[in-house]
Amino acid sequence: MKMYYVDNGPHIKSSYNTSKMMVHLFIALLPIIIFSSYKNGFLPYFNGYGTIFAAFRPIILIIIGMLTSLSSEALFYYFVLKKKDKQELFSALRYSFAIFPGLFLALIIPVNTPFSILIVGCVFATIIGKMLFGGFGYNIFNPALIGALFIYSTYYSNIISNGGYLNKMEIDTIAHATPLTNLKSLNYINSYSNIVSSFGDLWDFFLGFIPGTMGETSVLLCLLGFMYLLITKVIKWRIPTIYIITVFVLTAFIGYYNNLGLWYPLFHIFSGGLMFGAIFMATDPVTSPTTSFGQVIYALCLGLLTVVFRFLTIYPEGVLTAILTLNMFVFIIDKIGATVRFNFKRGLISILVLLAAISIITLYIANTIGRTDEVDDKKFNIINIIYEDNKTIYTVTHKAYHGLIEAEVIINNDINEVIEINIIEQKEDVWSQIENNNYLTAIIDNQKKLDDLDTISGATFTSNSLKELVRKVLADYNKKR
Amino acid sequence: MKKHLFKGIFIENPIFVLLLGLCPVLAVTTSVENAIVMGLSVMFVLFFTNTIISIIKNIVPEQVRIPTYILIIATFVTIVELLLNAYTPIIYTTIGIYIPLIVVNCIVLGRAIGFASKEKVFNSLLDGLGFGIGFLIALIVLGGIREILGNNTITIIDNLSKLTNVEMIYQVLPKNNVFPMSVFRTPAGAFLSLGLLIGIINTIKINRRGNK
Amino acid sequence: MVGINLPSNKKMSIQSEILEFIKPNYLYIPLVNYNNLDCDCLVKEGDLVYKGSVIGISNDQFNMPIHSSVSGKVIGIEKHFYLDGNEVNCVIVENDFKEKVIDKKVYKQKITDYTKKEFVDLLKNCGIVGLGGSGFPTYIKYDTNLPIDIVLVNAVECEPYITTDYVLMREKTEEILDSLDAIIEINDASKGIIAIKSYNLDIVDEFKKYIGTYPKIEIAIVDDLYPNGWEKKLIKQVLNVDYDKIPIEKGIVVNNVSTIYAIYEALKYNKPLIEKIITVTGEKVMKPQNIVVKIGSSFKDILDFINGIEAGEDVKLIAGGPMMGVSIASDKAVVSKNLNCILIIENDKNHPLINCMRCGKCIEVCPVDLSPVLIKNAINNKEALKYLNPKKCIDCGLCSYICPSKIAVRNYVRKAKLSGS
Repeated sequence: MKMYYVDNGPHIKSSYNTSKMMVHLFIALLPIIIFSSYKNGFLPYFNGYGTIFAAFRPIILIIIGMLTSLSSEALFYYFVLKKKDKQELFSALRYSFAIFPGLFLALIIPVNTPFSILIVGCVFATIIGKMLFGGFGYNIFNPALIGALFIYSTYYSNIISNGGYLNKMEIDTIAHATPLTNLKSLNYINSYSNIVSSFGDLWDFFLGFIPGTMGETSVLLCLLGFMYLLITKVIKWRIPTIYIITVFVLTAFIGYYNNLGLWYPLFHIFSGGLMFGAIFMATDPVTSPTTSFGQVIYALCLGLLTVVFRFLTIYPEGVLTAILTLNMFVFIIDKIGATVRFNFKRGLISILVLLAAISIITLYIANTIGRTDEVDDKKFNIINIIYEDNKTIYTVTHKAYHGLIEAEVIINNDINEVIEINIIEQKEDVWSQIENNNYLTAIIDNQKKLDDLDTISGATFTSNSLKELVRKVLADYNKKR
Repeated sequence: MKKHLFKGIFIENPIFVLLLGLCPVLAVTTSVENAIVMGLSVMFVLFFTNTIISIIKNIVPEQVRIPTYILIIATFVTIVELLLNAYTPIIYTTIGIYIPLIVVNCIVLGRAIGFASKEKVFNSLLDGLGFGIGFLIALIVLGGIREILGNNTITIIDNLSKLTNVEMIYQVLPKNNVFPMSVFRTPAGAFLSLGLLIGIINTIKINRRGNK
Repeated sequence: MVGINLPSNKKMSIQSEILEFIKPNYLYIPLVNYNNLDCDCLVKEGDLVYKGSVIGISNDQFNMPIHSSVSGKVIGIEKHFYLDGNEVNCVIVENDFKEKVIDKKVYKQKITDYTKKEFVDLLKNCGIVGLGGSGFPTYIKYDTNLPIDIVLVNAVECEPYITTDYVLMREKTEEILDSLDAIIEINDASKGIIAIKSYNLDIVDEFKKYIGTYPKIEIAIVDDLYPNGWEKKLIKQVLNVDYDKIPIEKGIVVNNVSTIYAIYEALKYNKPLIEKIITVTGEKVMKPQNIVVKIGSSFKDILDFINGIEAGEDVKLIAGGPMMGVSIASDKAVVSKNLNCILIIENDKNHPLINCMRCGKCIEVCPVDLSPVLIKNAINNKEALKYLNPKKCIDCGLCSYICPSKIAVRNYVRKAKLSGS
């Protein structure tokens, strides 16, 4: 009687292999690594900006990132998890794919980051973003994004003082910061020349020769990587396609509402690292949903959140925070996705709710931005200006707590200062407080530093209206001078 | 008897083990000086309220127990508040909002209802003292970590200097690219450092239990 | 509902002729019916039996007879391994090589001359069960008052390595068509469809030679994907019909093509099911081929008959196909009615323990729309298992097959199925 080996489960196995999938991911990243080291390192050096050491800086940053995360994970396994046996340690490291947090982190930070900050960020990303949750396969948040968030929130001033986002060549040739901070300063709606042309034309955006972080500028190479990952069936393809299409559609709507052409949504999807974030960071298999319907919801929410963060908050780039926020909800999204496979009607409800939320929010954004100047203007109105020899008399109205305040402001032309304010009409109920504190005199005394002047407690809105009134009169006077 | 004193410091440390009353902890530990002042205030309140509540525990009827205890606690908190306001106005503006919150701090109320209302006077006194010391130590450790990492200094007496004419600010680390980490001055850093500290302490406890 | 194109590995066993191993020394007839081990043995030690006489009967609602495959003497009862890895009682019959049958009964001249009741009784008395692997008593499918509209013949054979249906169709084309025609006539069905997969277009040509004379029979070609042989998916693909519990609700009866051939032998010669074709194949077999064996043959005897197996520690003996078959510990196992393959392959070396990557591939391939990885994570959570529906699992094994981290996902789903009940 011969004995045989006994086993469970299917006795043939497919050729898919986690290690092979990670190798495919690395191969897809190689063109981006090469391009970033060329554009941020060698290109300035060949054009005469920067030393030979600065030419190697990008590639050194990437290598430092990979080595730091690998060694911090090895130290964690050795000391904390007590894997002192060499064989066990090697196999644990090999199947934990430790170089990826460090590699991704090095690709999403500015080129001028000091090395020590990168090392601290990599250690933070690996230990706190990945190992403390349980290692590979158990982390909730994308570890590279956790590290990037740590670096940006802690060391932003250090990076800016070291040179910021611009490499040695761009500092001399480009006047602004990254394209999205420029957009924000222009109040989101402006002309093609102001938003795009200061960095190049849209073709430069597509190829990647614009300022930004190390790896996320080149749209062409990101798309090539996406094709490669699609062919080798490694990527969750629904997430990047729906994410990018959502952002395109929403920004197209906002641009069309404000009479901007097709270049506006193209600008939005080519800048801010959206391509890199959508293709490589949002599709990280461990932190994204597993069900296909869940992936659709995830990508829709990502697109919506990115647009909201870009337009309605003070942070110019929305991708990092959007992905991190939605990583928290992956569990619920998967639950919806698993039940939807049995009855599709429940999924229809969630999709409809999501689409409704998206349309409402987009309409809101399209209405509020680009109109801020008008809204501001509506608060303040110049009724009449009388020019005399040595003084100018402004009769103006300004929006106050109840209705408008109408006032007469007299400016002395010789000293270019306000000398008198007469209130013609007001309907405030706290006016006694203004009078008791001689606020008008205080405004005249402090007119050059109105920001430092305190408002009267109990009459804050009225005090602010008065300050704004005088401030705008002075601005108009100085403009016309 | 000694165990009542040491219980609050190590085995049942209110912050690292019981995780009670964390709101003021995360807010005032931006510098060691603030932490010391807050810790001393809570220790003062705990000590006296535990003692007095234990003394009167048999006189108070069951139905009005909680309002009575809160009244007693509020009295002592008001004493602390008035003292701080008078002698250390600058500190009072920084952490003053959390002083009245000591009245409903889970530690104070919890020890009052859970221990002092049932045990003997001396035990309650030691218990209050122990928990106060535990709270103070925890606050100092957390404040020290946050201030060293976030500010490169340890400030023991700075804003009190008007009172004592002594200034003790120690620069611990030189300023370089890595330190100070400004995230530790923010609430995010508070949560981070508290979480990591509790994790380290739990690991040590598990290892000690495993070795035994 | 999707499928995967598995590597078929079928060419190795269809080149040669069908061997016959019908003269074993001993036969170990398993006392089992449709995975139910509760059967009564009707003979005792020392009895003489004929080929085809009833030696056991199952103790459940089906009451299926168990036949002896040869004539000879009953030696005793022994435990052997069986298709699902358990041990089963087997009646040992010593072969006297005389192949004596019981007195010939009068059987019909034309095989279409049976009434419906006679047909059902014939199926039961001949012990015909589903030969596609299920072992379900066939007579139950026809013992119904609902009208039978379409008889669908499952000739897909989607599991890799197995080629029994293929060689049967190659050798006995006309008989299969005769039998199907008879079934249609007896049960007043409107038509019969034979479903063949697109990989076997040469078999389609074989059938097309004769199909003209059978106006009610059609051929349908299905895609070469696993698990297209699963009943629900096949009916959906060929007829575009959904049913709730059993196909007879919509007037459809599904039978495997080997069962159809066994019905032919029952209709024409009143012969009970005592022998069948199995495939002995695998990389470790020197010369893989199909063999006609008697029910109750021991694996050891069959493997000795082939005499070309590489031995070793790292070899697995599997009863059934590679996806749904069970690996058996020793060769002290018997051929039962629902076995159709003996597979001997190399054991995959131990895969390293990689954590689940949450790639979602197991969810994409599941033909029943389950989410295996979520079931694995919620294995102890009764609340979550309610909306994840692990009971619908058909055990096809695609989730474990495709997992890149080589996690045995199917085991978790099986465990969840059991824990729910």
